Amino acid sequence: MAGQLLVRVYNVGLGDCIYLRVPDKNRDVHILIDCGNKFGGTDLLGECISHLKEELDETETNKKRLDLLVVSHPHEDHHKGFEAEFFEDIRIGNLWLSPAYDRQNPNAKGFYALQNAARRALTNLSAVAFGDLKEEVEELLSLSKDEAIDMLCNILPEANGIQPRYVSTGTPPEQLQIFEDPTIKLSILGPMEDIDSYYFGGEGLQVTNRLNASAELSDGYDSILGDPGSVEVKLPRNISTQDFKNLRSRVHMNALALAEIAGHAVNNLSVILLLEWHGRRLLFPGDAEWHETRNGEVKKGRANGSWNVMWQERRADLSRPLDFLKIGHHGSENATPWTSKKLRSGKVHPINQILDALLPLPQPGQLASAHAVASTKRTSRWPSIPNAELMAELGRRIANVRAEYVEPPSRKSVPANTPQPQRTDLEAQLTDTPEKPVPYLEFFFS
Amino acid sequence: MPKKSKKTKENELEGPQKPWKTGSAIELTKPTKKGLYQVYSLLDKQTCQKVGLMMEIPVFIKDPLVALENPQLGVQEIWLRLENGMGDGPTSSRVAVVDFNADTQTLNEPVMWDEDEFWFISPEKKEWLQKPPSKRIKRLEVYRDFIEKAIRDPHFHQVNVWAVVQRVLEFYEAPQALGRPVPWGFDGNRLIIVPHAGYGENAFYDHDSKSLQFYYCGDLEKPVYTCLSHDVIAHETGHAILDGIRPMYNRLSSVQTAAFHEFIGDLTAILLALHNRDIREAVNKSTQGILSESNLFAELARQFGKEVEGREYLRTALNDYTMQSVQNSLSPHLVSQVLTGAMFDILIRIAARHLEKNAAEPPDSEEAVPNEPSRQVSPAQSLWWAADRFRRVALGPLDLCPPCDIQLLDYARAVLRNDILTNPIDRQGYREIMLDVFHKRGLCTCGYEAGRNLPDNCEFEEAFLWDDSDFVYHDIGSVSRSRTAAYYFLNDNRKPLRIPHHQDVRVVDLYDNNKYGIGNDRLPRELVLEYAWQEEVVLTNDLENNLDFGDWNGKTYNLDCGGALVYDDRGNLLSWSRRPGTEHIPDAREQSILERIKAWKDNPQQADSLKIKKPTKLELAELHDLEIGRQRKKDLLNYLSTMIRRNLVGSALTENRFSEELRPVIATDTDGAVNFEIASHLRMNDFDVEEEGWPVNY
Repeated sequence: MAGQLLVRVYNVGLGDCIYLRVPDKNRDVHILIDCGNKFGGTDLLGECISHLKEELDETETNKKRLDLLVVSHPHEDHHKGFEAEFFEDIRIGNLWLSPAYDRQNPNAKGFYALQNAARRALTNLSAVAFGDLKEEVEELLSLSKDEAIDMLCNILPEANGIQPRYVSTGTPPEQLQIFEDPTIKLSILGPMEDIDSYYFGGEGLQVTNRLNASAELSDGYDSILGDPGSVEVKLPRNISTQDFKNLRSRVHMNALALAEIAGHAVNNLSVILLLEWHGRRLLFPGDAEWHETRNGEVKKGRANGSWNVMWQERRADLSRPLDFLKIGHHGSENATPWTSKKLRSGKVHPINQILDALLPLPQPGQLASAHAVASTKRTSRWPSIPNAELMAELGRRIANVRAEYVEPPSRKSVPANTPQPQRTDLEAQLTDTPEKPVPYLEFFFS
Repeated sequence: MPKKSKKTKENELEGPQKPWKTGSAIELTKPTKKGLYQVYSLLDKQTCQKVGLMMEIPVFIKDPLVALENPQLGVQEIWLRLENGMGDGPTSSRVAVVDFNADTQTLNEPVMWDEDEFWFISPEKKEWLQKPPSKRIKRLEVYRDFIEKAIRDPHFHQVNVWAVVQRVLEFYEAPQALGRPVPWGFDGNRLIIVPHAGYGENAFYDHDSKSLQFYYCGDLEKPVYTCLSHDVIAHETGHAILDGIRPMYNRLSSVQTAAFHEFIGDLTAILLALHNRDIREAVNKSTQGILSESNLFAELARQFGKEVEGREYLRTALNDYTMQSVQNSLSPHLVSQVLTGAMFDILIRIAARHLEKNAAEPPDSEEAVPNEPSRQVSPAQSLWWAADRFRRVALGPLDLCPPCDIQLLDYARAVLRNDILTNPIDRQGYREIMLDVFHKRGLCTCGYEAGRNLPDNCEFEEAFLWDDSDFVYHDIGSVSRSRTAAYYFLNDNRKPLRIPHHQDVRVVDLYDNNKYGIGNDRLPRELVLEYAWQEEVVLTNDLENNLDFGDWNGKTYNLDCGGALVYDDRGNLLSWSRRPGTEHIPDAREQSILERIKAWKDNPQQADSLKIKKPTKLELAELHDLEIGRQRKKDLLNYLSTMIRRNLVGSALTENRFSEELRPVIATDTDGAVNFEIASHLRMNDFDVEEEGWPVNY
C-alpha cells in the first residue's frame, strides 16, 4: 500500500488511539493522535503502541521516528496511555497539545479557574463522602490523570529535546509545517485562540482590568472560584451546627454539576485537525461538542460549543465534503453536529447544515464515498454511547457501513439491519473469530 | 466590627449617610409600638407602613440585566413586615440567609442588622446598606452606578434574596391568597437561603437541607447571579411553599403532579410581577392595559433564561399548548405550560372584559356614559384590578386541591369551585371565560361551547354539583380541634369518602383560614382537612401492554390516594377533591352491585318483582371512583415504565444516587418495596430530555 495514506484506528475500548501514515515528498510522515481509554488499565494501550512501532521508521539513534504526536484534550480516554515505558524508544519530532494543557495561557484564565474549582469541589466532596459516592468522586477526580499531563507537558518534551506546542487557530502556519510537500496541509480548525471569549463566555483581560478596580465579588476569577486554602469554615450564627453540617453536605453535591460543566469545557478545547492530502480531506475533531442554540449561532458572553464556533469562524474549511471523519466523542449525540429534533416550525435544526456540508446525503442513484469510524464501546455505565439515531444517520452518508452488526436489543442499541459506520467495538462480529476483538480498523486513501 | 445597638448612636457609622428616615412617620413610644405590633394582623397595610410596622427593602424587581437596560425596572423598594427578633444574615422568623459557598469553602460574612435603627450594615465596610437613588434623579450615571455597586455587593445580594423570599411568603399568607400561616415542607420553621452556593447554572429548593440554593453562572468576571433574579427567587420559593402546603406532591406519581410544581413556580413569579407597581406601569405604557402581546409578565427569568437556555425567555406564559399537544411528554416544564398558559389566558380575558365594561371614555366620545362616572376605570386601574383579582383566582383554590397526585384538571376544577364560593353571582361572566379557556386547553374534551350549558359528560360538572347527604355529621368545631378528632370523622365516613376499611387513613393536614373575598369582604372561616392512604402496586413486566420495569420488575410501589375536604365554620361542605384508589369496594361487593345494575337496566320490572335492591347513588359513586382509581393505577404503571425505559430512573444501590450521570429520579429498594424519589433540581432540565439524555462528559 505504498504511496497510500493510511488511517488506523486502534480498538482501545472507549477511547481514541489513531495512527496516520502520510506519504510526503520523500518519506512517510508518521502521526499519532491520542492514546487513551476510559476503562481498564494501560496494558492494551501499551500493546497498541508496540504494534504501532512496527510501522515507524528507525532513526540513526535506533529509536523509532514519530514525526508528530497530537493529543486532542486532557481526558483519560485520550491520554491515559502516555506512559514513559511505552515511548522510551520512540523519538518524537513534534508535540502538539490542546491549549487546555497550558496552565500559563493568558486567554484561558476563566477556563482554569473553572477546572480548579471543579477539582476542589470534588476533593471537598470526596472528603465528606463514603462508600459508593467516594468511589464515584475519586473516579471523576482521576478523569484528567495528572501523571499523563506531566508526561506530555514535561517528561516527553525533555526526553525528545522539544517544546510542546499548545495549538489553536492562532498558531502561525509556519509552526504547523511538518510536510515537505507544500500541497499537503495539516490545519487547526479549533479551538480558537481566545478561549475564555469563545468557550467560556468571558471577554478576556480587558474586563478583568476594568473590574479589578472594584472590590468584592468582581475582582477577578479567583474571587469567584478562589482557593480557600486551609481556611477553616466559620460556623454561621443564625442556624444550628447540625443544620449547617447537613446543608454543607448537600451543597457539596453541586460539585458533580460543576464537574460536568468543566468536562464540557475541556471537550470544547479539543484540537481539531483537518488533513488535506492530494485532494483528500480528513477531519479529526477530538471530542468537540456542539450546542443547541436557536440557529446554531455563537453567542457573545456564553460558553459556546466548539462546532458552533468552527462553523462561524472556519466555515470555508467545513463547507466541502470530507473523505474521512473520526466520529467525535465515541458516537455521542453532542459531538457530531446533527440532531433529529425538529424546530417548532417543523424544519430541521440549523446545526444539521454542518453535517450536510461535511457528509452530504448521496443523490438518488449515487453511492456515498466518504468514510467514518467510531472508536467506541457500549457500556452499562453510559448506555447511550454511541447514540443509535446518530449512527443510523451517519450510515446514510458514508461508504464503509455495516448492517450486519447485532447488538442486544434495547432502546439504546442500533436496530438490527440498520447500516451504520464501522465501529471498533462491533467489527469483530464480522471476523471468523468474533470472540477476539479486532485490534484496529484501517482505511487507505490514494 | 461595626457599632451596633446603642453604640451606634454615639458613634455614627462611617461611609455614606443613613439612607432613610429612622422609624415611622409618626413618633411612637416603645409600649405603643408593642401594642400595635400585637394587633398587626388587624391593621391595614397603609397603617402598618405609617406606624413603622413595615419597612422598605431595595430589591431587583426583575434582574440586573433588565435593571441596566431599563432604569424604570431596576431596583425598587418593597414593603415587608418589620418583625421582632430580626437578626444578622438577614434572619427573620421564617427565613435565614447563610452565605456559604461550597466552591470556595467559605462562609461570607452576613449583613448585620441594627435593631435600634432597623436597618442593615455591611460588616466589612461598616456602611449602611444603601437605598436606590430617588426616581427624581434624572442622571442615568447615578442610577447605573448604584446598580453596578449592588451587583458587586454580596451583602446587597443577601438582603435582596431574603427580601424577595420574605415577600413571596407574605404574599401567600395574605388574606387575599391563602389567609393562613404557610408551613414549610420540612421538619422545621426556618427556610435556609444560600445566595452564593457555588458556580453552576442552577437554583433549586432542596427539601433535605431545608434550603433554597442559588448558584451563579456565565462569565466569571461578571457572573449571572441567580440570587438577584426576582423571577428565579419567586419560582424557587413557589416550590418551597407548595412543598409546605402539599408535601405529597414531591412524590413521584405522574408527570402532571411534577408539572404542577413547575406551574406554581412560574405562577408565583408572574403574580409577584403583576403586583409590582413599576412593572404594571411599564406594561401599561406599552400595551395600554391589553396584555395579549408578549410582555413583562410573561418574560419569566429573562436573564437566567438567556444565560442558561440560550433563548430570550426561560418559559413563557403566552403559549398555545394543550393537554393533547403535550400528551406524550415526560417534561414537567413543558406540561406545566398548559396550565400557565391557561391561567394567563384567564388573566388576559378577565382584564379585557373588566376594561371593556368599565373603560373611561374620552370626554368627546359619543358613547360616553355620563350617568355612570364611578364605573369608569383607566387601563392602569384595570390592570391593578386584574392583578388583585387574579391573585385570588389563582391562589385561593390551592386549599381545595387534593393532597396527592394532583392533575391539572383537579386544579382547574378547584379554580372554578373557588370562584363559585367567592363570587357566587358572577355578574360579569368570568366563570364562563374560565370554562372556555380550560376546555380550549384540552383539560376536558366534552365539546363545551362558551355560552351554553355544560354537557353531561363534562369534567367540570363536579365543581358545580354538590351532595354530602351520605356523610355522617360531626360538630365541625370538634373536628377542627385535633387530628385525632378529625380521624374519628373520617372513620365514620369511610364509605362516602371511598376510604378502604382496611387502610389506616392518615390525617395529612388540618387547618383553617381567613380569606378576603372579591371586595375585600371577610369570608367565612374555612376548615381544611386533608387525608391520605397508600395502596400497594406490584411492578410486573407485561410486554404486551408495553410495561417494562427493568431492574424493578417484581418490586412494589405505592399508589397515593386521598382527598381534601373544605368546610365552612357552620359545618357546610364547601369542597371535596379526591384521588380515589381501588380497594374501597371488595370484589364480591363490586360484583353484586354490577349484577344489580345489570338487572335493573335489563328488566326493571323483573328486578323490582324479584326485590333486587336498586343500586344507590352512593354505590354508583363508589363504582365511579373505583373506575377512576383503576385508571390511576394503570397510568402510574405506564408512567413508571416509561420513565424507566427512558433512562430517567437511577438506582441508589447500583448506580449511586450521586453518580455523575445523575438521574432525575432515584430508586431506593427496601425489602422489595421500591421508593422513587425526585432528586432536588440538581439539574433543572434533566426531565426535559425527551430523547436520550446526554449528561456525560469525560
